[in-house]
Amino acid sequence: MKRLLRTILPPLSVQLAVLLAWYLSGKYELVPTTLLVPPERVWETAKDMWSTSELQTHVGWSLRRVFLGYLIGSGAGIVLGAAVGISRRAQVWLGPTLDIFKQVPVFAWAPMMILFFGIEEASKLAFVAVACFYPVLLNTSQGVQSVQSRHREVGEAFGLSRTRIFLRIVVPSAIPSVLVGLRQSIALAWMAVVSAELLGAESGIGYFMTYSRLLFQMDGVIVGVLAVGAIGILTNALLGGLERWLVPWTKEVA
Amino acid sequence: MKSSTFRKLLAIALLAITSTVGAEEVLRLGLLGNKFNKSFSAGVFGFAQERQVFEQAFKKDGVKVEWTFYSAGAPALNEAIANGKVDIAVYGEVGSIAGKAGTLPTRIIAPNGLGGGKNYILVPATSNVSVPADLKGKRVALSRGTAPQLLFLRWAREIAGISDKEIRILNLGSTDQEATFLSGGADVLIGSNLDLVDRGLARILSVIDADANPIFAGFGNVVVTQSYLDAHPERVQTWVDAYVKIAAEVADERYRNDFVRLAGKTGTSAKSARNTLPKDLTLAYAPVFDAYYYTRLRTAIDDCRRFGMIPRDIDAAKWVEPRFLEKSLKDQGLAEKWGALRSAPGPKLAEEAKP
Repeated sequence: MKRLLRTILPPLSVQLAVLLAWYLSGKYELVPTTLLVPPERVWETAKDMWSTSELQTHVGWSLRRVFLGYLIGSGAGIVLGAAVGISRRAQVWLGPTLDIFKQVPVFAWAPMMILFFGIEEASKLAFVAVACFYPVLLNTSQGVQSVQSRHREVGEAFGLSRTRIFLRIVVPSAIPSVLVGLRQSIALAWMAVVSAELLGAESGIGYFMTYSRLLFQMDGVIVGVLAVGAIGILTNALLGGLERWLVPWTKEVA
Repeated sequence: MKSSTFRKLLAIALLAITSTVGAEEVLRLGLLGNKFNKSFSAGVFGFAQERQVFEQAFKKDGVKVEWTFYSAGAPALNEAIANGKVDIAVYGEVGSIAGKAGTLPTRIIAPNGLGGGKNYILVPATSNVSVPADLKGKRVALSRGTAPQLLFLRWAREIAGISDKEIRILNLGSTDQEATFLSGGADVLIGSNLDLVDRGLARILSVIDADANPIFAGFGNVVVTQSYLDAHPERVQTWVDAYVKIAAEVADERYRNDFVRLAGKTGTSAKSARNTLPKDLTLAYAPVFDAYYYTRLRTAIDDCRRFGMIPRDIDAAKWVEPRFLEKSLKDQGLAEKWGALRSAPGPKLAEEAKP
């Protein structure tokens, strides 16, 4: 209990302080309330949106895009990252090409996405997938390459096959690094989905925030920001749980 | 040591006082930028800018007029008003209505032109859409939250008999709209440009003629912030006087070529400018709050609300502050100039007027 309080209390007190500052700045009009809409009005807007299922619809669409795009992008990142990390030949063949495309900002891909995948869902998923791909690729290849050679040698000394060395030694050693990539990617996925939903979307939290801003409905923008933030916290907690389950030893070492 | 510190403080204080005394009073005008990011205005404000009408009007009072063009459009202008960076703003119906619905403390002190000319509903040259009603369930590429959205949804309702729920709006920036349309990602495009038709890539499904049907005519508003109006009512009057004077002069057929020339300074082609200029300049740029204007304003607010573009209603009568304009028209002997003209078009709309 004491430990839980120690973990929760500090961030919670900062968040409450921010909320209080927000409330007071609105109450005493320290900032234009037309821009920074007071929390009570934002709450009313959120409630209205919830009661009409508007909020759930937008969040649902964005979650779907983030989830599928993340799955595709990070999946490809893990496979290619492992290949580049483990195989010298794969690195020679694929490395330079991957390096070239790594330099291209994800937003610059937008016209190509529309051209190749059309304006419907596929282009939005591709946009998110590209954003997630590189952090996972780099961290995976780095994780695989950083497996200590003496660990491999121990495996070889025990007469393990290459597949078993990969599964029993390389994978467990690389997982912490892969998880770092996955965590970085999920944040990028949310940034990417907001941009992807500018590409002719009709729904989604990014679309909703942009549309609200265009029509000067700043309460809507703040509802969107808070929704993305809340989902971000949940996703991060989920990935943290996954990390503790997959690599419990990293925590013990720490 | 102490004396030196005191002297320094005194110097700073004196500097602060002198800089305050010498500070120039500024009236900050906010206008919409254009796609080429040029600091020029079209329409009546183009004339006012070129001839330095407002600068001359405020010269005797020592007030400097500062023109700022917001190329990010009405949202940026609304944010600038909210931030206290603009005193008087000039923009279109949707932007000004969105700002007011977002509780911006503004008052309309003058209308700024009534849109006219033609816009076109385009479909791909190979499309099997033959009548407007066929567009049910189709995808239109346009920028949400802008005048084209309002125009298209009005057209869909009035001409095609399709509600806003029965058409899919793909929210795209102006540069992406054409690309999406050409790649088959959108079934409909709206605009005044016929280049795609000339190149055989699109055909005209319908012509939206704002001159023939006033419900399709957009309009502009000039708003002042409530705080500026309360603090400087005399300056607002001076500004409106200058505006009425220039509008009364140039809202005339003789100036049509100059309207086109000024539109060119903002980056609009002469062909496009001619196409979108109202047929009757005198009528379109009349600086009056008459039944016709109030009906246009009320209809625009109602439609924005109906199409889900604003979250709450606006009391149009309370939003408009007519006293400055009325005084100007009276003082300049123009009170009767436009009355007869403006009752002519759109009789149905004029009947519903709510001054």
